[in-house]
Amino acid sequence: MTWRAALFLAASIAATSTAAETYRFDVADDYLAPSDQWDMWRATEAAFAADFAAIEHCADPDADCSGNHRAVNRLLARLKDVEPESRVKAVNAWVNRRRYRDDRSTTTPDGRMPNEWRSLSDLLRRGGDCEDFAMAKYFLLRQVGIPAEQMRVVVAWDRPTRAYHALLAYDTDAGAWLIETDGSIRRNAHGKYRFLYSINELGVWDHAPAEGATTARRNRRESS
Amino acid sequence: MNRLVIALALPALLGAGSAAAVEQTTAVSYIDQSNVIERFRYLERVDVTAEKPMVDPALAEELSPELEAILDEAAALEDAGR
Repeated sequence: MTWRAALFLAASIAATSTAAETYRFDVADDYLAPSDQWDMWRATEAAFAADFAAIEHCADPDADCSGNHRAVNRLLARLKDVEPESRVKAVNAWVNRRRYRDDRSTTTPDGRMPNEWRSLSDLLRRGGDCEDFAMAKYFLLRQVGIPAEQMRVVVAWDRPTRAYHALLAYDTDAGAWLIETDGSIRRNAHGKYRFLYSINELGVWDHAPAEGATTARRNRRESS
Repeated sequence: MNRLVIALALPALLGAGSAAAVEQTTAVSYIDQSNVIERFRYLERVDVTAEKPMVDPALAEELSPELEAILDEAAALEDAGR
């Protein structure tokens, strides 16, 4: 192999690994299943729907609403008039002002402390962790007209902190934005993360399927 | 003549269509649902407990005065309800 060929090979490998670290909405092969097959998602979706049904009436000063619900009602009404990217920024900032706390409150018989995805009311009352923040951002943005196709809640391995982290991915013409809990929006530099899975009301995408797991990619490979 | 060609070709075309449909059905039925549910159980157990990252004002997204005003309005309603 000539040095030119070696250089080309190294550059190709580098380009491939960078691409793998950038979140993309168009990798159909990672599709695992419809999200309504996941009972945890179904329960979360139902809880948010119940919250929004209650919040809907809170513009009426005589309605029996908490301050939290009135605030959400006003926020949603005002954001419908601004451009989509501003909606994303405002919802990100508003949710990030919630109290941050470990979500795990129950222990299973085998001693595990499973994750919990909090409803919006619960997050507003008691706070939540990164998953709850990301879920709240997703459902609030759905209420102000951002399409489901354009957003996913993403769980990723954060290399620097060596912990799993959840955030919201938002698809733009210039690539995915990662909407962070710290107030920032990562537009290109996604390399600190290794993506594990993503979810929205349209599906679940498994970015690191286990051996034997079923994704569109694995299914196609094995059936060909 | 044309009718004859159609009469001869139609069954062949329908046959090809149903063969494709069978293949499609086979491909779909290949998906092992228990595998998917098992994967959901695994993903549920992933411990997503990252500490809240420190807010770096230099990295935090800047909001326009219009957006700040909307957030202040919502915050005022929240405070009033406490």
